[in-house]
Amino acid sequence: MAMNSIAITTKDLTKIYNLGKENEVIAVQNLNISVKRGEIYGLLGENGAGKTTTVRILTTMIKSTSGKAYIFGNDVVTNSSIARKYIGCLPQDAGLYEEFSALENLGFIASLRGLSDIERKEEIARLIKLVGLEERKRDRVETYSGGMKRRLMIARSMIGNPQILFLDEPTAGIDVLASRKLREIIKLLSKKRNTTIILSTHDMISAERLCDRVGVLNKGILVAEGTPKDLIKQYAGPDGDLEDAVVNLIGWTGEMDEVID
Amino acid sequence: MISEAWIIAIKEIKLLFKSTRRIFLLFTTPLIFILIFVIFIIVLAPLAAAIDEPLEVIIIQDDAGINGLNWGDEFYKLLKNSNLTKDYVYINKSEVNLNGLLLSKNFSVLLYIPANFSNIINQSLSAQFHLYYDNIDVKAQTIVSNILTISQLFNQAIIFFYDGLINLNRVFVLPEGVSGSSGLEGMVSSFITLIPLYAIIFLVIPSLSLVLISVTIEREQKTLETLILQPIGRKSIIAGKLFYGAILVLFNAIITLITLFVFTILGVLLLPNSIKSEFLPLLATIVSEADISVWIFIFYVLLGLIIVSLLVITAAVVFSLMAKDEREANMVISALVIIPLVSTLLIAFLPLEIIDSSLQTILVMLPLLGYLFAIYLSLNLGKITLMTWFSLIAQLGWVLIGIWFAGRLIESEGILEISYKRLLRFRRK
Repeated sequence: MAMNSIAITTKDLTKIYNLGKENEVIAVQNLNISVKRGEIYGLLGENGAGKTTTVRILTTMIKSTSGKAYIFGNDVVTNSSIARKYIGCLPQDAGLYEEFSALENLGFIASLRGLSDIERKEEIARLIKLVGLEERKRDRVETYSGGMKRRLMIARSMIGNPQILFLDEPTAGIDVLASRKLREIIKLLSKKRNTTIILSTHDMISAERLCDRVGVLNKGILVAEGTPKDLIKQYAGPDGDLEDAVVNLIGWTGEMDEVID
Repeated sequence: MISEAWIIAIKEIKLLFKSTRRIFLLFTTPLIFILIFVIFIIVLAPLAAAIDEPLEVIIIQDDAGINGLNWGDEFYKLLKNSNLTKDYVYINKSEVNLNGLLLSKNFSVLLYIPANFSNIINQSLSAQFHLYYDNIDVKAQTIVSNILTISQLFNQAIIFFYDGLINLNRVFVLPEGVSGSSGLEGMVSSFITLIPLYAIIFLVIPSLSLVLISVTIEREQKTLETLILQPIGRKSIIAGKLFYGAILVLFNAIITLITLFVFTILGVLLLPNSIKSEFLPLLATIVSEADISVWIFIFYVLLGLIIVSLLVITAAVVFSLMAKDEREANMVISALVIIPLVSTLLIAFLPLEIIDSSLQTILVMLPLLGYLFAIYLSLNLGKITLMTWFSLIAQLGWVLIGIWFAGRLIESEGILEISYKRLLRFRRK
């Protein structure tokens, strides 16, 4: 398949919930981003900044109110089925079939993604090993801990070796070790397989260490975009880090004294 | 789309077998039939055994005779030699006190020939004999009726049962010129209409519950989101659920038919010989004498059952897609299925005369109810009319509308948040 070097493009992407009603909410406004193939792109911002909405539009789950979004040149609305072929996604709150084992959960998705029997077996064995669930792979998911479930979801999002991986809060609920391992996996996927990764996260350490570029969203508007280093330099000063940069960008003054008093 | 839908249907079947509750639901219908059969065996086995026991008639022959002639003895001989009554076992208890025997009630049929029997016949008057029997015993009733047939030679009988006189004339009389949806024929067509109704209840409702559970589990466990993210058409998800429902109905129909077949054979084997010898040839006669219109009618009913099953399954998918959880879905589906089912009970017993033709046309078009009403209509008219076929097309139309609507629903971005509670709140606004 001929592969475009630009993996994701959005043009004036806007999403307004409850349009024209009293409770109208502008979730994303005129978003223009372009992510290259193999790039790790971080979407940062506070809760309700529009990160998840952007991911949901790009993964074809919801439609934008206006503007366009393309996955390897395929419109996410008019060509959604083709666009989804390139996508693997770890949504914030998607579930697993609780009565199935890890093997059965992954097997079902692998079948839907059109993997042959042999490919399916190899892929599932590899992914189970990758997320460290070998010992529990035949147990029902309902007996797993929250972290184990999250790891299984991560494995599920990687089935079929997708060209673009959307990870919405991937480290939420998983322990330090698993979190570090996940960071390694993300790096390797980007370097070795040239996988494009969109990382929507509050975990600034991960973002700073992993992302080639980050985009900071505030109330649906892209307020800054660049490499973590550039953003730190520009918005946090020489001693600051990415968290300081983001905090400064979204306008928090840090004055809490009055609230506590 | 077909292969993706098939993968989803297979996944549903695998999930079904992970839950005891769902397995139990799947086998509900055959289990109900087995239970009914066991109850029948427990209740009817002693009765059936009793039927094959030799039938006993106690005789107290008090007739004193006249001029060397004893008409009581002649009557007795006649009973023992006539085809209708010769197989009974006659126990002569002429020496026993009649009143004592009557008080003891230790008999099923007792024939008392009084002392003046011959004397009265000799005077060319109507002689009387007395028959005492247990009127709740079907066997005793048959004996009484056969003795009465023979006794026409001997004029008059007074019939007693355990506690007094009864009237044997329990013949159902049809008023002249009555036909259609009232009277006996109407009752027959009403009850035949209920057969597909029960088929729907037993074959489709368990499948409906299982489809409903499968959709609401996707909602509750948030796996619908995972499905939507896969590179498959969203309509494949709907098709997968419909496939699953169709497989369940088919499976349910097959295992129910096997169960019924096995237990019918067992039941026939357990039937008393006397009934078996009459029942089987009667069944064979009915089958061989059924003309082409009967087979067309059966074909119509079966075709309709398939379409209506699909309709119910589609309804389950549509309404469970709009439900937040299983409880919400159950409430709505129960209401939606029970209303047409209960309506059928009402309509199938209404005389057609009071439903005018335009209302009839509307009724046959209604989902589910229309099909049952069309059956009732064709039974009463004695033929399948254009309107009854039209009803099937209408049912198919409802299926297509359901599939279209389910497709629209799953395409909508609000699908993950939708719930009846929200819909009601929206309406209130």
